[in-house]
Amino acid sequence: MTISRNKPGDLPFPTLALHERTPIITPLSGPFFRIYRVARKTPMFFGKTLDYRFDSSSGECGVLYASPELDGAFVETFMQELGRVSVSLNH
Amino acid sequence: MARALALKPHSTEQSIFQLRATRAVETLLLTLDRSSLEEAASASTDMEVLLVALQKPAILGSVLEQDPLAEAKLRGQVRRKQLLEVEGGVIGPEKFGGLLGITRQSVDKRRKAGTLLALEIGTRFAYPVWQLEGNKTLPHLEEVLAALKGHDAWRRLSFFVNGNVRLEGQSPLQALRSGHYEDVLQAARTLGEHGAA
Repeated sequence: MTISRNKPGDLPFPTLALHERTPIITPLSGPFFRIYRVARKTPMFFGKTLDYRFDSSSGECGVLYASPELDGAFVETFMQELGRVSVSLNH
Repeated sequence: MARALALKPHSTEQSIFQLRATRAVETLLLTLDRSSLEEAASASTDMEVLLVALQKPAILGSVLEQDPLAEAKLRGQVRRKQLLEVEGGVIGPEKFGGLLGITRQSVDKRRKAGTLLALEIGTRFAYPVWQLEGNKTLPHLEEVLAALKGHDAWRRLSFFVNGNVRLEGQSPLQALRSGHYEDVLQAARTLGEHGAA
């Protein structure tokens, strides 16, 4: 029994022409939903914990996770412990 | 039944509770058909008799009119019962201490310090058996419980025994048993946080 998803191993270096590429930036308009712990007192949390998929690899910049749909926010917050990341709309 | 009838309420609250609860049971008796009553009556505990009866459609409809969350609350009770029964179930502090070779007082002390998980059932605490491996506690149990500080006992229990996306569907309990302590700790740190796994 192994758990591999959080340990991808050594990754290849990016292409040498990386600096010539234009980052893909998609403008979005709100509102956005974020579920947060009461203890945090605010939903504004730009995490640098490196615990999440899209966190900066060096921890240099913080990332805030939010969803344009309340359902999406709910799933991303509470489904971890049910062993799945998707849920039928019927539920 | 004889024991229930013999109980005399000692306070106004107890009298009101007894009156209303008895009336609710009478409503169940008058509303449910024979097969529903038979199914409920064959439940293994008295409390389950009520849980099964309350989930019958004939009853649930009227309950939902009063409280739209009633069905969810009942499902929650059933789920709690299931959580208590998995991986060997729960035992009292005396027995738990006996298996660890420590006193009941020491078990209480560890519970209060947050190094053992216990569920408050009525006026008693119940300790999940899976916290033990032989006469010791599960390796790294204390660290994981510390990472879950701030979550209530039911949430912590649910975390340990349910499959987890961060552990490729394994439960944290299974992962701890197979030595994946770091992964379990990360899963514990991120519990209830909005983020991408």
